[in-house]
Amino acid sequence: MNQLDRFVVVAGTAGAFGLLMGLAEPALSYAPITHAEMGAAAVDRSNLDSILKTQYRIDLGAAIVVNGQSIQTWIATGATREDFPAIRSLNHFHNPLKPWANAGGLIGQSSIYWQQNPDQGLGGTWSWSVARQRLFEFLTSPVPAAREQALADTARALGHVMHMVQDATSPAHTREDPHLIRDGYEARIEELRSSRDAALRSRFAAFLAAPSILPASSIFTLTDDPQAPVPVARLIDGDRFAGTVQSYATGAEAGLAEYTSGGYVSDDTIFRGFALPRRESLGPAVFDPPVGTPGARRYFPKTTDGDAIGHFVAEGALYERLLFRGQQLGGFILDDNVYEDYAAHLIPRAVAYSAGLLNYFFRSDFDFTVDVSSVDPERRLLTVSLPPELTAETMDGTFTLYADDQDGLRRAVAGATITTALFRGAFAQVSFVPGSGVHAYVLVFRGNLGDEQGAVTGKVKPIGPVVSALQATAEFTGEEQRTTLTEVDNASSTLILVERRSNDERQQRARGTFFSATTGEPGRQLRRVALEFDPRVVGTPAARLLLDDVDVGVAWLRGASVVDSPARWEIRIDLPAFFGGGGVLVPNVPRFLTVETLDGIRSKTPLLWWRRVTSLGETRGLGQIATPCPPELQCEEVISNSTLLHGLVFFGDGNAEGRDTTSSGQRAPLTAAHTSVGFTPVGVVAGFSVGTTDQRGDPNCFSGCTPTASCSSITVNVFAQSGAAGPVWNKDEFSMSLSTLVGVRKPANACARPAAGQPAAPELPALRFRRDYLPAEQSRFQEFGVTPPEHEITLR
Amino acid sequence: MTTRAAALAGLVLLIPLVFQPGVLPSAEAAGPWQAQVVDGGTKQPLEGVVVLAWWTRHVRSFGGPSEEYRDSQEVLTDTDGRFTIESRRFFSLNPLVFFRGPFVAMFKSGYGDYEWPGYSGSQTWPKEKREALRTEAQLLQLDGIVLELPRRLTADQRKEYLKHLEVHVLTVPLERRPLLQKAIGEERRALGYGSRRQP
Repeated sequence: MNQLDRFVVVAGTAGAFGLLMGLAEPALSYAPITHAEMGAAAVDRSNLDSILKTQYRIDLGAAIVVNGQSIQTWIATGATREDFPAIRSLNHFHNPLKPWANAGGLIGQSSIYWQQNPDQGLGGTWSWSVARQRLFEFLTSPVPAAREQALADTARALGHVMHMVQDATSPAHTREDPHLIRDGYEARIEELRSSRDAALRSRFAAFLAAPSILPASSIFTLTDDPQAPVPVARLIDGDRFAGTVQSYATGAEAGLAEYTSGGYVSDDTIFRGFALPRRESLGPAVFDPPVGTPGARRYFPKTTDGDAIGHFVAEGALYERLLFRGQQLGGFILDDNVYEDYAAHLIPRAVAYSAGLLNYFFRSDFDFTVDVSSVDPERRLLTVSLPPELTAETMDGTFTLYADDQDGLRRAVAGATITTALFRGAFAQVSFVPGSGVHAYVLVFRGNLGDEQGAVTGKVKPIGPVVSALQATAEFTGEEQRTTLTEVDNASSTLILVERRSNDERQQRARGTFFSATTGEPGRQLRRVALEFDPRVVGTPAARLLLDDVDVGVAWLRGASVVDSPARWEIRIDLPAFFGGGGVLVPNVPRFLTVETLDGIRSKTPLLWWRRVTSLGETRGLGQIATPCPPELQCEEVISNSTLLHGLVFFGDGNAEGRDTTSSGQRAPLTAAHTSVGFTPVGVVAGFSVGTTDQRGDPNCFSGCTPTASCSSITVNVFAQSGAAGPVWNKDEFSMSLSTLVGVRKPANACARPAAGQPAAPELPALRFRRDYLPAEQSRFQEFGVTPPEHEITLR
Repeated sequence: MTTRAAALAGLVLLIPLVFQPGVLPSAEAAGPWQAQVVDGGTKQPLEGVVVLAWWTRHVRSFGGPSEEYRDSQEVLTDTDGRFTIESRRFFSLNPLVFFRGPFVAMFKSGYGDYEWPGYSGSQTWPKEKREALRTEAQLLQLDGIVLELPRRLTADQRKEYLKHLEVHVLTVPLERRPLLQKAIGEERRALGYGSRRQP
């Protein structure tokens, strides 16, 4: 009897006897809800939930509800609806021993073709390409509601595609055994699943939960079949099984239809029509329950040619008789014990391979960053990269960057598109002008992913709360040094008294906090905080970072420290020298505090330090002969008092020495909106307003032979200096020099050195700077729709 | 397909039509279906339990019969924990069509799937009894049926049951189960499913 005859006879017999007998409850294929339960279990077993949470940033993962159902349930819905209308199920068969074009039986097409059929007709098209298209729309649709719906449709389409994978674990579906009326295996599964008997139901639950090998990633090889070009076909048929014992495999690279067809029999193909399984693989028969017990039946295990099955076939009523007559293939039947032993292997495989399908669909290895361009800080640099791991598949297609605004509206970012072939370990870049108010960046890829053409994947990176490090203070930690000096020069009849005050700039600490405009606990949003030094620094810097008073070294990484949600930061330096580098000044002090949020937003806060501060008080007493004058006025007795205050600050974002000059040495006028550093001095320093530049007076009081004289001079530059076109900023330096002189003239023979008072060096001042965000920094805040926080830094 | 095969296939389709009057499919029973629902721990009646009953329509095919939604009814248990599902009978002239149901799902926040005391061990029942009482449709036509809802106290237990329930009632379109959807929505919110960040 040829295949066609057999099909017709089976169908006719089934139709006639089945309906005549009035079977009220014929078995289904795997029942729709069985497919749904396998689909839901596959979601639990797959990486989908994690991918939705981490890659697509959906907080609820597969539990997110769209139109009343979770994504997990939408997948289950697809797995259920694939059998509706009934005519679709004609395409759920695949005989792995036939060419794919003929593997679906006489009426339908192979389930492998059906999975990838772009026009499925009745019931709608829910094939792989639809899932890919809807995923693309999920990633690129402007409106959130449309994206949600696209995600639900993606899930549903995957449920449909998954249905075919699950049917490949039904022996009847892989052995051309149409079952209009009843397939015992599937009937038993449905009986267990739907039972109100907890013990029976728990057996089905155990099948779903049983561990099974996930398909290997190496299974997804090229098919070279234009009707099923996507390697997902390999989940069903790897084209490795040729119907022989030698070619039969049970490992993670076996196609499911191959595994099932070669390892299990269906009701109407017990050792018939297929070389495997074969009778020779059976072991000695055993009675279950034990012989002599009512209902005892003899079962034969399968002990070779694949997985061992305890109850592989049972003896039927005619078994002994047919053996007696020398029949080789007679009398075996399949019963509930057999079906359940089959299910113990097949259903876990169905779940695992369904999970493998989800993992394959959502696979992605690429990453991307959007950083400030080092060439032009007002542009951004999109970098797409593939890791060097061997598993990373080549991505040959187009990467397009999208941006979400605060309402979730998504638009492509002009100029942020890269079309390239990206190999493992490689990266590609493009710079673009950022928009404003970006709440998330989304990179979408469409092209060839490994061996899959027309693949789609993406990654969402929400901006999340933007966290900034705000510096509040920088202060000396060492004791103030205060020295006095007395010099007497009898030869010149001079007395000099000096007091000097200073602080050691090598010992300082800077303190500050973390700030976010959108969350009260910015520390919870942090992933990494680190000190950034001048790149020319050699060796281990003598600086420590403390977060909430806990020393974390020079960097903190979430999870690697007891600190979980830092609110305060402190940097302590105790340097051997403020500058190193031999002939070149290389600052050993940290230049920046860098902050990276959980969402990957990095910001660098330039640090402000004292570079030097000194003050000096000097008193001189001088007696000398001034010969040009008449004798009665030839002696000058002069007492001069002077004070000097001088300080330098170090800007982390300044030039190589931390100063506020451009590369050409030019300084900005006081009227300039910004200079080259992100700080502006404010307030008053030692009684002089910031911006003061003054030089007055003459220290030479005796303009002639006058008996008495007094004069004063002043030179003040408070973070400013005179320029050719008016005052200019000199933000890193201040100085004040004040002198007074009082003198009298006497006869030369009465000349004596006057007694000088004790000088007092001025108090070392505190300085105030306002944080002045430069245009590049402002563009970063504008990009994320955040107002830069205003604050001041005090140096003391 | 050869002429002979085509003829045989035609015969296959004709046979059921010829014998159609004798095998007219219908629902398993006409109802009504009723029971009392109690707390599995205290055995006290539970009021306000959402009871969803539904029926399916099936069409035989060579891939196995398909399944689609046919009808449903939602009720709430009364103060005594009782509910009644109205009688139904379905009919089709198509001999390849048959109906099943009602299938029943219940939900009340903090409780799991219902159990019928005494059904455990059904595997050892006489075949006749097992066949007669295999489904809810048959069980709930008996008098005095008491269904116990077991407590689900932890959030994880409640989430797990919610997940199971959503799959179990998939056949019924969302718009045909408003009471259940409302209850599920409230349960989701209670379990913290309320907030989410859209991609």
